[in-house]
Amino acid sequence: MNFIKLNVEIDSVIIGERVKGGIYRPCLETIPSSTIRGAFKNFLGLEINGVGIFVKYTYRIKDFVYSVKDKFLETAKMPFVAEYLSPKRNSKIKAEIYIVKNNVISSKLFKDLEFYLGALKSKGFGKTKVIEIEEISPDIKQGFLNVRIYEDECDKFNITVISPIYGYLFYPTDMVSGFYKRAVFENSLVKAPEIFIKEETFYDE
Amino acid sequence: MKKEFVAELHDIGKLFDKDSLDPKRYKLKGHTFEEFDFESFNIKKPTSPSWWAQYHHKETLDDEDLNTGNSWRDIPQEYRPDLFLLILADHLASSISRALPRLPLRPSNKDESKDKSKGEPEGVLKLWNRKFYENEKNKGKYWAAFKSEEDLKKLFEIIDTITSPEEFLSQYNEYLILTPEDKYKPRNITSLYTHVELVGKIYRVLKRHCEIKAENALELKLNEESVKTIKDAEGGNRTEGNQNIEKGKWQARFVKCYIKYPHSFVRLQDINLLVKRNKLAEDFVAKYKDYVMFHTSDFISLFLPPGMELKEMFKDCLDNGFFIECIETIADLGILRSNLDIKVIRARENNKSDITKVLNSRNTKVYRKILLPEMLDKIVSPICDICQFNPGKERMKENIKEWICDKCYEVRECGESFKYPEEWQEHKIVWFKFNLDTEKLENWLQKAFEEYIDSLNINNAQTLKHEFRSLACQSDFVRDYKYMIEAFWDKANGLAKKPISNYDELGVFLYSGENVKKIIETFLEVYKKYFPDCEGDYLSPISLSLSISNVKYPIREHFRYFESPEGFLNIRNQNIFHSSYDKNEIEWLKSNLQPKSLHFLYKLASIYEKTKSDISFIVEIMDKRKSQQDISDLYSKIKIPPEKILNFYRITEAENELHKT
Repeated sequence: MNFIKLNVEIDSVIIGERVKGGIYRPCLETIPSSTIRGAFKNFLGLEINGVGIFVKYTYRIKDFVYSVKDKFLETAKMPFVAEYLSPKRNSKIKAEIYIVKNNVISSKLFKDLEFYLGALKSKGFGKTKVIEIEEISPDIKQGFLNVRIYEDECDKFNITVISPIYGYLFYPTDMVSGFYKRAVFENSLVKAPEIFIKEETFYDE
Repeated sequence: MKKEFVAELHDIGKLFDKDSLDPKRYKLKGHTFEEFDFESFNIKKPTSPSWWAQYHHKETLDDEDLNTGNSWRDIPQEYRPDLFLLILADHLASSISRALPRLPLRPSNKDESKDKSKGEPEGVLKLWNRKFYENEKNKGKYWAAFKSEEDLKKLFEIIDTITSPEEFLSQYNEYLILTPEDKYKPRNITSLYTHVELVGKIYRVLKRHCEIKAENALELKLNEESVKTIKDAEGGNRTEGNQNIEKGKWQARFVKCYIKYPHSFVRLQDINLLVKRNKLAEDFVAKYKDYVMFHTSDFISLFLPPGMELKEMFKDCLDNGFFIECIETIADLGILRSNLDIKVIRARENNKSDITKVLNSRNTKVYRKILLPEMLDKIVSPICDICQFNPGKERMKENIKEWICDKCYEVRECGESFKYPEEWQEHKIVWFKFNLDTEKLENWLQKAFEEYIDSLNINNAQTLKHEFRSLACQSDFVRDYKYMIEAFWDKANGLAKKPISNYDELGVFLYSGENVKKIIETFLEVYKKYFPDCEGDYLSPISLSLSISNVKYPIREHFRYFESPEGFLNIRNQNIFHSSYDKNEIEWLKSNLQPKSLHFLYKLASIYEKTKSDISFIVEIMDKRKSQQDISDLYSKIKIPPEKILNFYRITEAENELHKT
């Protein structure tokens, strides 16, 4: 299976978990397939299967405090703290996005592309620029998964799940609604292209 | 009432000090009494079933048919299955628990050998507290429970009168923990308590799952495989080479289980989840007592026969939203041991075909499994804020809307509710958590054992290092870890609070430099008492993490920090810095840091931050070595980056410095 690897740079980004206690929103340190799907659907109008990994040591977690405005009452709601990833040392956050290549999705689509990833785009978060594009066909290995991916999309990425750790990712059905779909999370034991493996393993299957 | 066969009594002879009697007169050999001449000494021979455990060291039993073998003829038929299973359990407990297999131990120098035999140690040697026995002896304690002719009579009475394992373990606990399982170096590093406890457990597991047929001839069956000799059941006890590698008929499983949770703590009461986990782990251990080799609050190691369903065993944990990560090893009894998983994986990783060939021919498997609760394919919004595993229900509290599932809400509402004292409001607080990393523990024990072997100057050192099994040591280590935390709270009770009264690993206190210092000092004091020979660096299995924040800071963030402690002592000040220190560094910093150095430390930290180069600030230190001698000394002796020195100073000394970024 061939993948398009996008090396991207991001100013700062929020890929949020569920809001906690109505006032706090932690941030993920991986780019799930749901986020990639949403971003490209928005920007290119295409259903694109991809997942992403932030490059270690290029970011740190910080807090962003803001108030959501109630448009009807014209009032601000309770202050809200969201975690976000901020670049380390006046540079950019680096990430790798892997996209499944097919007849419709080719490298050309992404050349010099700038798009937005994650939440709070209106506050300037998520601006992402494609720096480099490669086409790769990685080997299949057994190991621990390093991304989050909808369970029913694993075969699209050539991932065979051996021992899953499940969780849920939001699956939008239109602009305002959606549901939570079962997904395979980090550290699941899988057989997969080596780009999705954080550590090769040798367990019986 | 029929007396019970108490397997734990099989090594009671190890509690007898033979040197207290005339060995020639009593003809005492080894630590068992199967050949003892009761009549000559007018001592009553025990008649209980447990007496027959004294025959467990008769080596010819291993190869002979338990119906026709000469050695088995001394044993009444009704006790042969018990002795058969006890021998298997003793071998297994030794290979699972004993640090080493039966290998010839030869000092490299013959003269030295003579010297050594005179000075063989008598008490257990703990790798992390080498003077443990010496200190106990100075308090008037002694390893032997029986040390006179009268005591010898008492020992035989005990074999007859003890009615349960618990009775024996509690009555002789004091001696069992001081006596090594094997007195000879380097096997003297595990306690007899752990060994006899494991033998008893394994014996009962085998007995429970073994079908004993006694129609025409005795036949023991496990998992549909029947055997008549111990050797048939076990197979060979080697995993490489050409000898002693034959396949055994009986296999068993050794499973390492980590109890994990997907939850994020939102409110303070959500940490009740840890109480729940403790309770579930304790209930599990009570229910499956004999299957559990040892456990902590989040880790359980199990000895299981084939066929026992793990998911069924952990049902209560799964029903309460926890998930279990298991590393399961299935192997012939002859080679099953606590670290076989590591050996198998390493052999596969390094393509060691001589080992993998033998392991495969003996159908050895290592699985990594995740046991999860039943999960829906999809959840219509909203999902639970806390576990993100179940549909959430709307809950309102203090004008804040949350979506929480019934299970997480039940956890939040159950048990005591911890509240910060009124006087802490608007102040900074410090959450702290002790951590015992079982993976690091295995690695640390291996390293400590290798150092011990090197210190003994033994010929076959490499083989011994290679064959080390750490389970029994782990069990002893965990016991001391629990004692250490209890001792910590005895000293720190007035200063810090336990948010969960029966969960000792977690605490919180009001921030002040003085309080942080006291907590660190108390930790070091108890650590040095229980683990004086465990270095206290990044390899240390034990760590303490402190997280400083405003009282309103989200509790989940403290726990996120506690999840993966980097070093021995980890300190974080919310959004400002985090640093890890080892024991030596803390001691140096505590005794050498001067308040007048603060300005200079800021300067050094800033140089380091800008240049990320050691050379720049070393030049600066050298330049100011006369006026800043304490910093110059600190850096030249322990090479701590100035940033870490500064952070330690800010947190323990300078109240107003804490808020600076």
